[in-house]
Amino acid sequence: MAEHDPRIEARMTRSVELLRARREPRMGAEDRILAQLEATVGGTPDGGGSDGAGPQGGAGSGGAGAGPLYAAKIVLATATLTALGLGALRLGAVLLGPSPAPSPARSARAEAPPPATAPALTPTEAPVDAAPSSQPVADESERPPASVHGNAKASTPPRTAPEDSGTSANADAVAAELALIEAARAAEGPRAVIERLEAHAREFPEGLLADERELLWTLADCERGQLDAATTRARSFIERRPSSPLVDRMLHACPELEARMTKADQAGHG
Amino acid sequence: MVGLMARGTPAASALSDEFKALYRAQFAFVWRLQLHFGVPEHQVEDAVQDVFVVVHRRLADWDGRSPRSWLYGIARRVASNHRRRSARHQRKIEALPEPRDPALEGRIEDRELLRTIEAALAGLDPGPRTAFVLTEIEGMSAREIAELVDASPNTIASRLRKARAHVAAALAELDGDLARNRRSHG
Repeated sequence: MAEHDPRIEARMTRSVELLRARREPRMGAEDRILAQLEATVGGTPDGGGSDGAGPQGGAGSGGAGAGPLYAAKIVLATATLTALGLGALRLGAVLLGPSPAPSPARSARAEAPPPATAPALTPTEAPVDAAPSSQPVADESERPPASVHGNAKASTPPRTAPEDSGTSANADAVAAELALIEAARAAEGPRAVIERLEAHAREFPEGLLADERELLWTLADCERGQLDAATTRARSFIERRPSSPLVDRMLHACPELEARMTKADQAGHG
Repeated sequence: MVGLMARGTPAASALSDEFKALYRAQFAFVWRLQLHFGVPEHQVEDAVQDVFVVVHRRLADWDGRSPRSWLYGIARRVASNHRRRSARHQRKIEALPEPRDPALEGRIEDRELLRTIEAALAGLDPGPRTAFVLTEIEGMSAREIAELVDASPNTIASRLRKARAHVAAALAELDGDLARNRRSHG
C-alpha cells in the first residue's frame, strides 16, 4: 500500500502542510471583513439604517446634465455604504479602539471548549465533544480572540488596513479612512469627489474601505461622462469582487455603465 | 446618531463582544471551510462575510456550545449559495488554482505536491474528502467529525482510510512526473 511507504508518507505530510498553508486566510482579510461587518450589520436598530440616509449632499448630486433621477440613483447607491455603512463603521472605529476587555462570561462562550455532556441537538448543531486535538492544527477556539495569524507576511504600503483591531492605531486608521471617504461623498461635483478618493488611494491603497472608494470613483467617472474610465474601473472591481453587493449598486446607479457591460458580455458570448 | 455613540458602550453595537470573540476565534476555520466547500478563492472573502452576517443574525439562537458544529452548518449553506451564484461568472476557477505564494511557486516539487493533493481531493466523494480535510487540515478527531456531519465515528474512520489511500496513490504516481520535471529543468 502506497500510504505505508515512508517516502509517500513524507510526501503526504508535506502536501498536507502545503494545503494547509494554501488555505490560510489572506493577509488582512480578518480585519477587513470585520470592518465590513461593522459597516453592513453594525448599524444600530434605532438609527444605523436611517440616520443620515437622506438624499442631501451625496456624491454627484446635481451633476450637470445628469438629471435628478440619475443623481438620486447615485445618492441611493452610495447611501447604504455611507449613511448606514460608514456611520456604522464610525461606530466600529470607536469600538475598535482601546476598548475594555470583553466580558469574560460572554467571550468565554466562543472560546471555551464545549462541555463533555450536551443535550441532543439537530444534526448540524450537534455538539462536538471536548476531545483533545492531536493533529497539527490546534483548535481555533484556543486562539486568543485578538490574535493575528502568525504566518502573515508583512508588506507595508503607505498605510494599510489595521492588523490588530485591538489597538488604538486601528481605530485611528479606520477613522482616518472613514473621514476621507465621507469627505469624498460630501464633495461637490465628481472632480472634487475624485480628488478626495485619490487621497484615500494614496494613503490606504489596500484600505478597509477600498471597495467603497472604487464604487464612488466609478460613479464619479460615470457622472462626468468618462465612461471608458468608469468601465475599466468597474471591470476591475467586478473581477476582484464579483459577488460584492456593491456591483449591483454600481451598475444600477449608472445605467450607461450597465448597458456597456451588458453589451460587452453579450459580445463576449456571441 | 450612530456616530455619536459613546465609547465604552459596546452593548449598543450590533457587533457584540461575544460576536467578535467568536469571529476572531473561528475566522480562519470558516475561511478554510469555504475553500473546502468549493467557493472560488477570489470569492471567499464575500462568502466568509456572509457566514458571519448569518452568525450575527442568529447569535441569540445559538446555545453557546460547539461553535464549530454550528458554524459548519452555516458555512456549508452559504458556500452552496455562493457556488450557485458564482457559477456563471466563474466556471474555470473550480479547477486547480495556482499557488499564490511566490516562494512556493519557485519550488517545483512543492507545486506538484500541492497540485496532486488538490486534484486527489477533488476526485474524492464529499464524505471521504471532508473526513480527510477536517482531520488533516483542521486537526479534528473522528468523533468530532462524526458529530459534525451526523455519521458514526466508524464511518468517518472508514472514509478517512479511503481518502488517505486515494491521496497516497496519487502521490505515489507523482514519482514519474517529478522525475520528468527534474530532467526537463535540469
